[in-house]
Amino acid sequence: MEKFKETLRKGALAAWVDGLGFAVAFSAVLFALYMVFMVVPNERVMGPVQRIFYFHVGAAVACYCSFGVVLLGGIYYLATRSAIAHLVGRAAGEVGFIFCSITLVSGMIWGHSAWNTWFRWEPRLVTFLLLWVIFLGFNLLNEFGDEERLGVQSAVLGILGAITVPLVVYSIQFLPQSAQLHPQVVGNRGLKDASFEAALAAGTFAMVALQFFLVWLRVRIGLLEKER
Amino acid sequence: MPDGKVALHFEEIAKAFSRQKVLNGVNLSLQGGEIVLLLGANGSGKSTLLRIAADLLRPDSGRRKVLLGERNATAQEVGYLGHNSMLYADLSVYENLAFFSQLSGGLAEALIDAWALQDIRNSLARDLSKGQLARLSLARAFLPAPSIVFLDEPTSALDERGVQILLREIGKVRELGGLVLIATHDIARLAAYAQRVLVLQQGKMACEEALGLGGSSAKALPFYHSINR
Amino acid sequence: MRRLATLLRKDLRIELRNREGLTLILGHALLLSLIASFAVGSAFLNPLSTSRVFPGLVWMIFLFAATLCIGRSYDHELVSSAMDGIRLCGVPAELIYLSKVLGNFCLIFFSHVITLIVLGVLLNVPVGMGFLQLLLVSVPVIFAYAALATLLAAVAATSRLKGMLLPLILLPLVFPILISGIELFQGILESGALPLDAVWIPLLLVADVVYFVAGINLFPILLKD
Repeated sequence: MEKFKETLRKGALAAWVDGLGFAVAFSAVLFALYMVFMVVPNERVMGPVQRIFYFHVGAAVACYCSFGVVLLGGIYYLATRSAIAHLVGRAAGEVGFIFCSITLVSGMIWGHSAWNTWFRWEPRLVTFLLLWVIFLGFNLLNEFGDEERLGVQSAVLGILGAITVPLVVYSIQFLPQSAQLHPQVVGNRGLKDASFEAALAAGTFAMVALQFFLVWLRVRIGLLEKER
Repeated sequence: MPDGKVALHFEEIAKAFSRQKVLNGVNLSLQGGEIVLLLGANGSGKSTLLRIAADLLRPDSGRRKVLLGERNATAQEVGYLGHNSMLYADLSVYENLAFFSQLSGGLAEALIDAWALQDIRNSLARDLSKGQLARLSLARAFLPAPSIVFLDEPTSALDERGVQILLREIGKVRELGGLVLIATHDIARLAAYAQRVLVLQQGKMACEEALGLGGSSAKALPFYHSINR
Repeated sequence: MRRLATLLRKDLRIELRNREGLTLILGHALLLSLIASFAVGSAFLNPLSTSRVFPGLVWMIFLFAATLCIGRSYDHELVSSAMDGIRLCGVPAELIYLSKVLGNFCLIFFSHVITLIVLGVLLNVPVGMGFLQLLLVSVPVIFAYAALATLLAAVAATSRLKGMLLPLILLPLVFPILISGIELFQGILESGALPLDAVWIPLLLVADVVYFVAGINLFPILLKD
């Protein structure tokens, strides 16, 4: 384990992954930007603002990915007490928080154009609002928690949070006042142009790649901090 | 009463607290029938070692074995006193002991007699003086007649009568073949009653010696005094 | 089983003797009920609308008061390390968890009932009609909350932020339970009977099981380190 950490911290392998990760994430984002702003035509109903949709969905997927990493990291940590598992969980919590914020803000911007309000009490937005708060709690614990016990506590909270996510998603659907305002784009075959699908795929891939790259960076920073 | 030989084994025990390595590979083997003193400077890891020994703390690595004959000692066979009183401030002396004895066995009355607590039987723990509290904590530690006892600075708040009772009780444990491990700075009073002394320094066992008559020591005590200069 | 009774009796005795927890939670519940009544009353809502906001208010007050109370439920054990003493008696951590959950449950359930009555009176909501059903649905809600909160209070107990951290990590997770409670109360107040076909009841039962199982498995891990 010590050797592995060393390699991660200083070794050539780490530098390679850094470079590769950066290249993949950077080019993915560039490509997505190109697709979204250059290739895809204006959507009929909403106009240019609709383009935010491609990043919004990607951010949401990245957010769910982060939750998954937090859960896996927590379980792995409790099984092995590996300090890296704790760092990965913590990193995913921070990055996930960012992407959740992006999802919320982009969703609200889109919503403002579509419904003329910044916030509507409807399932997806509320779900992500709750996910945002769960991430917030998790990050606050990691920031202000008791240092000695932090690994175990963070893992416990991460697992509890991840368990709660499906409960949240399931329960929000049945809130009576929530009309199904969220556009069921993909299901309703709303993607008329093939390029739409490509742009969506590009956007999603870019966000997810970016997310994993950021988690990787954060883990590296964490390891370097510990050495200090 | 141990139904087998009492033994304590530590193999390469290590423990770190937020970047600070407190125990750095402690190796230790103790047998029953002895009172052992654990010495070391403040911060040398004595308390941590005792907590790990009492199974209250998980070591980061290494193995801890506390045995009664062939099997592991159960929690009721181990007694422990740490830095905190482990008592409930809002309960009386009797209620505290009754509570713990209901959980682990043993009789509250017997302990009240043994530790001379009759006068303060009904006083709330929050109203006791430091010495009385110390005596009560020790009484709790000796529930319900453990074979292995770990004490962390037991004499620091005790009055003279309390020390007498303590020496009598650890003497009893030893006579029955049990093991008593005491972390202390109070060498003057305890060395005469102990059979062995250990010195912990910078997270490792630096010195170990069986004590001679009346607590005479050829190397361990002088070593300890020298590193405390 | 007997040891569980011993642990519960101990908590009860301490609670009755120093009355801190009881005073804290009841005081807050009543105070918040008063404030809520003023807040709602000043809007001059008609009785139908008051009934509509009542479930939300009751559960919100419950959340605040209960979180405060459970936040300090480990205090008297922590200050003197009595928890270590209990573990040294060979009591399995799961039993400690169970005793804490049950003890907390009783306390906050009691406070919840009082809140229900007081707020119902102040806001003129006819809680008398479906009172038993309201209590019945409160049981799984409060149990899920107690299971979760008891576990997280152990997490927050040793942190620097002390009382501030528990609400921050607990409340985000509590929403599904909260929503269920509110919707069920809504249903009972509207129809006077239990909305048995609603999705909330299975959801609550799932939450109960999930959080209790998680708690009983994770609590020993928290304690050991």
